[in-house]
Amino acid sequence: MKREAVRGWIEDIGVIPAVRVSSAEDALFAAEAVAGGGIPIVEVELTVPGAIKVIAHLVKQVPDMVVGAGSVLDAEMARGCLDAGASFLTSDGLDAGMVEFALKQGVVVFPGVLTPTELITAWKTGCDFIKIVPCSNVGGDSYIRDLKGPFPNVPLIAAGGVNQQNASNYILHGALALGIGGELVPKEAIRMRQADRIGELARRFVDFVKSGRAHRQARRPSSVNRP
Amino acid sequence: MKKEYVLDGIKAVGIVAAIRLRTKEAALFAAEALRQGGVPIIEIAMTLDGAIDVISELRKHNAELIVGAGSVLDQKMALTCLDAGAQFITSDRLHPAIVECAAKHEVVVFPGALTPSEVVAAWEAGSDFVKVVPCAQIGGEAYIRSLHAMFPRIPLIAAGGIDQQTASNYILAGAVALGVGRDLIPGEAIRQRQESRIHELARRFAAFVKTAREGKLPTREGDNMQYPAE
Repeated sequence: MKREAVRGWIEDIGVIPAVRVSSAEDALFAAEAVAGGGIPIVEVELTVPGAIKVIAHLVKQVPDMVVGAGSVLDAEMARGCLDAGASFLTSDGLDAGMVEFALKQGVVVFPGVLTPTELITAWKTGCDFIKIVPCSNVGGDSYIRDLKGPFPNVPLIAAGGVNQQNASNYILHGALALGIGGELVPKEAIRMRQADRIGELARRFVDFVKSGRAHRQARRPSSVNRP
Repeated sequence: MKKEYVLDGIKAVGIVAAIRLRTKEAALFAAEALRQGGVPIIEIAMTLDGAIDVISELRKHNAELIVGAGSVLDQKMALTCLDAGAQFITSDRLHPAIVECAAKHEVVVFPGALTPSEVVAAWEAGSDFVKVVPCAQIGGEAYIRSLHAMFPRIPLIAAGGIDQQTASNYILAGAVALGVGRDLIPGEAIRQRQESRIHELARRFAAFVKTAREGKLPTREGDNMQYPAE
């Protein structure tokens, strides 16, 4: 998938479901379930063994899906993900080599950072978005709001501890999108093949993003950087 | 072999006792009391004058202790600590030269880091553990849980603000060990030479680690590890 298209999907939907599964069947089930709920995006975490194979399988089986890789630690891992067909790369910490590699390959990349200094360093590399992670531990939505003050033009993705209670607040306070794991794709729901449950959660989070954006637009029409 | 012994000791006990004391006598008293209470791993902070002497003194007097240097600021200081016999080197921030120096001398090293980027940088520099500090101020055990989910393979030591109420929760959240200072070695207990009070605190913290590990990770490697006899 083209870089612009991938960016467009992430900006448009505003939710990036992160799945930690090691079997291709589980991943396919989870991906189809979130797609059924209106989110054709999935981030496969590399923290579990076999994740690269899972990415390759998803890319082949659901060509319309935006399949990315999460927890990418370095350029070498990034190469493996791109070979498998990943169309975006993200991490939990900033690794300059990984971002550089992704940019050279023309793939969407958003490294994870936490402090303002890390944010500036990451943004200077030319990445597409910046992921703030783990967000909830350091102040949650108010931390996002405080980052949007000095960095109004940096598109932020809030991740780490985003749930149904706080999702729309993150958007309201300026996050462009949300990275959500177990709250959107519960392990148990995958194990028990509860597609309806995951679909319902996906629909809810999409709605939280929509309502958050609507409120933000109503409140501060000039500062909203929506396409 | 020597390095493995220190690594295994830290993993087995799960507590690094950080001592900030000025005199050799006080440090020896505290170290001995901690060892008797079941915490034989002592970190001497370089923030005080005479810390180097304290390290060499402890190393000389008690072979059962594992003695390291804390708050090490640069490579030169690290080398001085190693000369004094420090068996591990730790700091409050990442200094790649210190990690390199320790690795070259085959000594255990765990720099301090706070954000995920810093944790990764410290790990990739070649550290044996990554110390997350100051932990309590930035979300405590929930923060360790997040980091552990992100980096399941990086062994994290939680430090900064750990007390009796929170110790076992940090282990449950995924920390392999805890750095504990004031709450394990209260200044007052040192001044008044309250040996049994430090024994009791050491026993409690060791028990917090042990029960938390038994509660959550009964089968994982490392939990059944015995403290090795040299």
